[in-house]
Amino acid sequence: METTQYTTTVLTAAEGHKLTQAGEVDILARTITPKAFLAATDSPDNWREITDAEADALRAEIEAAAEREQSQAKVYAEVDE
Amino acid sequence: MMNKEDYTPEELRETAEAIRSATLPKSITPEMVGGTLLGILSLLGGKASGSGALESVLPRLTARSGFIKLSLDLTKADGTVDNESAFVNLPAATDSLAGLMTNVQNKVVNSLPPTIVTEPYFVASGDVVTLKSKLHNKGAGDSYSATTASLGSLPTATETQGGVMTRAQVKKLSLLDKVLFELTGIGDECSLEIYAGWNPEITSMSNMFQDNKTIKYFPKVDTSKVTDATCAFDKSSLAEIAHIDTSALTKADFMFNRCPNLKTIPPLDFSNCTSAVCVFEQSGIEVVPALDFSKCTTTGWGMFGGCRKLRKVGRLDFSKCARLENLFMECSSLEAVVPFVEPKVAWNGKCLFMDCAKLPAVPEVDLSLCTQLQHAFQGLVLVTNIGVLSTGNCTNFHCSFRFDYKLERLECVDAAKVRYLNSTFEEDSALKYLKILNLGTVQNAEASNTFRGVTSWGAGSEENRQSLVDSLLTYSFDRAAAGYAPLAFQLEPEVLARLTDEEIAAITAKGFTLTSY
Repeated sequence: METTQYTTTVLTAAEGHKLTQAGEVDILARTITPKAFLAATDSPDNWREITDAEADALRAEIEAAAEREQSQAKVYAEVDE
Repeated sequence: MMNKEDYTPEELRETAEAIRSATLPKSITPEMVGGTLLGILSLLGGKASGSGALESVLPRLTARSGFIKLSLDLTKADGTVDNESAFVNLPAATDSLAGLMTNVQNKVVNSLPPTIVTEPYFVASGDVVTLKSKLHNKGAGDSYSATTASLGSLPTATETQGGVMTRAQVKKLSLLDKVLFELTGIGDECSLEIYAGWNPEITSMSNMFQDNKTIKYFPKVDTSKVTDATCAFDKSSLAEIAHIDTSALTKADFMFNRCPNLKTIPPLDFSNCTSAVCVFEQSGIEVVPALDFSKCTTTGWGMFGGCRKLRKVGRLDFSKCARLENLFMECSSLEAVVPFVEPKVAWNGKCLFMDCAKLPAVPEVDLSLCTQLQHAFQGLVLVTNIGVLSTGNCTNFHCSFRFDYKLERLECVDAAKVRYLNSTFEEDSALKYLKILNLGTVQNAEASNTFRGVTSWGAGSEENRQSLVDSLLTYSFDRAAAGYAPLAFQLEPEVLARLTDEEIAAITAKGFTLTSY
């Protein structure tokens, strides 16, 4: 019989809060989540709690950045006159 | 060499007017030409119309000293081809007319600059239609000196000479219009001027008709020495181009770019073309025949990008082309793509089929040498299934399958070299079966919003759920064992809920952090 034991660190945000990365990341790479199952190589120090209001503001920033990126995807060539 | 600066339509117009006023009063009248050709059609009688259902009629005009011949290849609906032909023998006294027609044969049919162009037209009044015909003699006015009297000896021509015809005759004669248009591509004054002023020694058509809002037809002139057609018709009003010789062409960048009136082109020869950027970008093109870009070694970038009316494309050969970004981007009327000959070199497929909203299925394309697929299949809103895609050399999946709202099953994609996984499947809310190989293999991979809105992944059956487990666990790369930094995937809450605690634990053990929205 083979027995495998996993140890998973689970972070759960407090009521009225969300989790996000502790460090600086590109706005489009920012995660806002109520719960995180950390990789074996991850650390709780890499995450921090923010309020729901802060999370909403960040989401708005993310949406705006995503829209800007989308509009830049469709680029038609302009002939050099 | 003729370029945009040298080409002055006003000057040519003056020349054409001068020639016309110099030659029309001469002894050959427009009515003679029209009447003679009508005579030929009269000889054919009702043969064409009595031949049953016709698929197509190919007329050919031949002239030799002493006679004129009109022959018709009649392709019937059953595929058989009949040929009808008629001759008018010209008396010796009319040899000069035969000479005129020989010029049509030798110089028009063979696409060399002609000296003579006939331009028949009709004036209808009640049941009587009068045939008229313009005769443009450009520079050889003294060569033809037939008289009205000598032409009057033509038995069939004299019947209609003077130009009075019935509607039935006009129907037949409309064929003649087609003959002349097919032979010369001259459809209006502007194209006549181009025809008249063309220099067959031209090697560059670069920018020649760029922004020209007068041009409608580009006639059948001698372009056999043209090597550069960069921006030749860019942003012009071109609507129709004759089947010109493009065999020497090496540059076709922006050749028909933003020509809103251009609906199709003949099967032009691009076999020596090495650069073909945005050839038809944002044009009104609807149907494209098979085209050979097999020597295009640099780029076919944006070839049909933004061609929102494009419905049909023949087989395209891009076997040496390293850049096919935006190839069919926003071709929102495209309903099918004939599999094209993929590059046999590493190539870029960014935005390849992006927003082809009427494509019901992803075309069969070998992606094994494709290195970039960002936005490539984004916005294929009718596609429900995608088979195995050989993406083993691709490094970029950014938004590759985003907004494929009806996609239910993606058989298999390989992410072995993919660094950018951002928004890859975003908003694919119907996607239940999705198998990804080698997730997380690239050390500095990015995966923000990869699965945002993918709420159905793993739903509906154990097979679907297994695809979720296989992608995140069974076939994913063990980043922890490799000593890589953790890579986070954010899943929709219902998707995360389809994983067991053990599966989540095993996934995190391989170096992936899982979060939910």
